[in-house]
Amino acid sequence: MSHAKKLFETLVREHADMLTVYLRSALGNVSDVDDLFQETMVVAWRRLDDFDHTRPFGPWLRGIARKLLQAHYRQARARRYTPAILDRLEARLAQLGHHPGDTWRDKLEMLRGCVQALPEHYHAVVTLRYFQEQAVAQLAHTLRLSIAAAKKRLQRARALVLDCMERKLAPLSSPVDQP
Amino acid sequence: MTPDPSWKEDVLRLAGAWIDGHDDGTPAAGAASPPSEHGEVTQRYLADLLLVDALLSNMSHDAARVRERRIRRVMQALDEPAATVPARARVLRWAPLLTAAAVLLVVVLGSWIQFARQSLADDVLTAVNEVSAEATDRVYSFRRVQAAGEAGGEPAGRLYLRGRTGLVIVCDQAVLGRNADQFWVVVPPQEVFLSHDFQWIDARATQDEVGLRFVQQLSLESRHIPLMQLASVAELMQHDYDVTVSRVQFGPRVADLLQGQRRSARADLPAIIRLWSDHASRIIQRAELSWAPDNTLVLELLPAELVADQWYDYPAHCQGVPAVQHVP
Repeated sequence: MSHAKKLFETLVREHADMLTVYLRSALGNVSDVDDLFQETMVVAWRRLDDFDHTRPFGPWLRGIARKLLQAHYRQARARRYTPAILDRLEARLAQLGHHPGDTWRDKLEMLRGCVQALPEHYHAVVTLRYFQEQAVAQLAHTLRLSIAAAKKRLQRARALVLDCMERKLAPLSSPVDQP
Repeated sequence: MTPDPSWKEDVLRLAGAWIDGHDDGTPAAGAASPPSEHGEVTQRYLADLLLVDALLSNMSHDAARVRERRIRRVMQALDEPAATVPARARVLRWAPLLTAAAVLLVVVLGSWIQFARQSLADDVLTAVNEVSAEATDRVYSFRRVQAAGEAGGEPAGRLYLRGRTGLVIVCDQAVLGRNADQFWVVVPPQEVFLSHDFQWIDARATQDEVGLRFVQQLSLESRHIPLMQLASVAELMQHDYDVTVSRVQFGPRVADLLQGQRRSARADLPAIIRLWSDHASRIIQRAELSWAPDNTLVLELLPAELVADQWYDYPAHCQGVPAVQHVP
């Protein structure tokens, strides 16, 4: 592998989680995330000469991903996502990028704290859904809830995590105006 | 956030329909209206909820493995232009070989059937192996059948597995576990034995008349323990067993029954292994590891349980500060 490719692999590794989160937020479908992730990184590699090395790599990568997402929406005739949603995602990820921490994982420590601080019944539903990757029907069975109740509990848990995240990000809130 | 519960509830429902509606990410029918029908405040809150879902999804046990797979795919894709052979050229290059192979297969039809069966078994086993290696917690009951034809009595205990290296066995008197390369036994009140080889722990604990009691209580032998890591068993079958596969009904499910006959003379390995894996999910529903007709270990999948992240480390099973002994 050439030296340039080794350096690029370092960049891919460093930004893989951020890009995955961005694409997942904007797509939902996991197999589309795989394809768009690869396409974004390959385009980034081919256009690396256009990258201004004095600026951060993450926003540039998201810029490429956004163009590919818009093409994907047109092709798939997906009308769910609007420019306002993509703008908001970009702003939130930029805000996370400014949060203290050397790595993406470090920056997300506050999110782990938010999950830990959830009341027990919300913590359980988040753990089963996200950490153990159980389908909603399966976790409903595990927790002896109806599927509708399990979905409702998940909705509220996500809202609580968001509230907590906002509180922790607030001292640094630069680019994101409150809704 | 604006503290207006009515619009928030609407967005929560909308986001919930997008996120939890179907596994492929499409919303539940009729549950979601296009976001363009909502105001910008709603759309921004919706985006925040989608982001929270994505952030949490990326914290799963399996996220690291998926990330590595994606990175590998990218790095391979970067090399592709130089190595790419046009599809038609590839077909032409392989055509004579495929023809010869087809002729050979016709001639040796009997061998082909056998080969096809083994190949199918190998594919199923590979899929089972990959699913078993995922860092997802699964719980099994286990019991030892010690007489030919015996259905088996009450389960001896509960076995927790996470991928290739997380194992915890809980019984009344002790807890045995493994995380990565470290095996451990927690013996009440606060004694812990650690080793990189379970047999060393067993030998030491037996000498102290601790492990003997523990193993006997579970009706197990020390050679059984490493094989209870079902991901290892699936891998073992790929290398050391002649494996066949057949489609069977397993309760309400369709399952693939993998039957492996040991090729080597190693008596520490079961002579016969049978795995029933769910045809759709490839999750092992039941396993039988048989050293002899009167020595069979049976594992059966139980409903999922919520366990802590650190469940596979011994401190999760100790109260207070334990006395830790490294063995040997």
